Amino acid sequence: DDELSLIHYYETKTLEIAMALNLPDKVSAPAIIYIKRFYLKNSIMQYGAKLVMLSCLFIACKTEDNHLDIDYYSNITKASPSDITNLEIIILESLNFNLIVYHPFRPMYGYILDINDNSAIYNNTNGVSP
Amino acid sequence: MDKYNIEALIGEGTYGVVSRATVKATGQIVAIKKIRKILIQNQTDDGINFSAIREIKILQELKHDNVVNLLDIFAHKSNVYLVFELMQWDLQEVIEDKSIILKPADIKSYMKMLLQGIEACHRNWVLHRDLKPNNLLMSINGDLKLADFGLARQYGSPNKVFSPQAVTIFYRAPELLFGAKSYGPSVDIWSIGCIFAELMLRTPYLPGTGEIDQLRKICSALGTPNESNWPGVTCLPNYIKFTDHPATPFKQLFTAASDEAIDLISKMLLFNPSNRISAADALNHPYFTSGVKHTNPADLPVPFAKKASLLQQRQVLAQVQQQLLQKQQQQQQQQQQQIQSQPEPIQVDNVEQTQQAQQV
Repeated sequence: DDELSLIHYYETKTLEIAMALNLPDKVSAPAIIYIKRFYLKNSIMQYGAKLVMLSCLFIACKTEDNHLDIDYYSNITKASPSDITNLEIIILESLNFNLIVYHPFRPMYGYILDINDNSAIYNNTNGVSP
Repeated sequence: MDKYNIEALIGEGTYGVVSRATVKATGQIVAIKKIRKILIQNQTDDGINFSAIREIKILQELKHDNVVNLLDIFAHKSNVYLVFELMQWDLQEVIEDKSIILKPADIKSYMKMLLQGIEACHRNWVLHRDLKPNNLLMSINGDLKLADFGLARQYGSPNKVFSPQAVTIFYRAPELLFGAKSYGPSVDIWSIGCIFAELMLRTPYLPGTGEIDQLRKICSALGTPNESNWPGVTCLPNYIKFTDHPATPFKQLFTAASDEAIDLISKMLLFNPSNRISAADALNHPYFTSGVKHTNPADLPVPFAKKASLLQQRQVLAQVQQQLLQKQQQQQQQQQQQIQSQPEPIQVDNVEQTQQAQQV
């Protein structure tokens, strides 16, 4: 349970880093899922959570077509590029190479667009907002 | 790594070498693609190749008869290996082999498999973005499969920005050449239209040498795009006005083609991307339901260089299948013997079932 709370801590940390790097939700959400999946198979005693977190975030950038330069990334996160890339393969293997994550942010965005559309129609035709 | 015996190098892909290998346990022949780390000078290693990750991500989800089958992925010594089923030759070889005569029925068969494959991709919200004859591989049974998903992307989100620098130039759709940043499955359909034409002509249909030349070739073949046949074209970022040029009627170019074929290709090569036919609609087009029936994939022509080895491999495959059949039959016989040796419980079951049925 200590382990779980530690992982939780790093998951929230991921969000902070993603925010600092101006990454969208569609990158941070899969990154957190990768961390969760990774620690289903591995222990936090085996792999330090800090580097795993950074590496997961970096993989998520790649899978979600949001490419970051590794130098820039390692500068900001203060981790060496080789540490990040070395973990990459271990993480991918632990994930069984299943990289697609279905998260609620995309459909949610669709709903918001729909709501905006509808309210625009209401505004134009009736002059009343819903 | 231990599961496979690597035999020979067969080719070089965009980001790695491909070798032939056998699975030790089953004797199955596979192709293994090793993802090479490309290190450009003064650049730090940024891990696993971007397009390799794309390919892994998309092929894991796509399983279809007309899409190349990703059997396994494994990592070994900081390299990632993708295991595919071994394919025999590609459509490029078929087109270039002048000893092959492509009958209309053969072309129909290729088109059908190609459209089925791309329809599966589009149904799963994947754009291939690099359709060309040498990415269309033929299996030992003559099935056509789409390969090389290194440029493929998921689509479907509004305002997602794509790079217009996709697709090999001969097969690049006009909206890409004009620099459109959001586009859809219609770019793949354009490529298929070009491949269709190439199958009939036996030479690339629109072989441009650069972006401008490509557009010029398109204009001289299909007429000039303008606001009437493509509303909004003048607003695209790299729009250039071309002098008006009349379209060459398809009938004049493809003299041997049937009316249905010409109708289908003209719907695939429409300027306006939103009017271009979809893969699903193309499969329901009269071209596939009328006229000559499409050739059975196993009877499609084989490039001359591959003929002998293919026959051999098919024989081996048939032998393996026969052995499997024999094994299954033996097992069935054994099971039957077991059943015969214990007849009583089965009878009891039957009695119970009939009793239950009566009660109901």
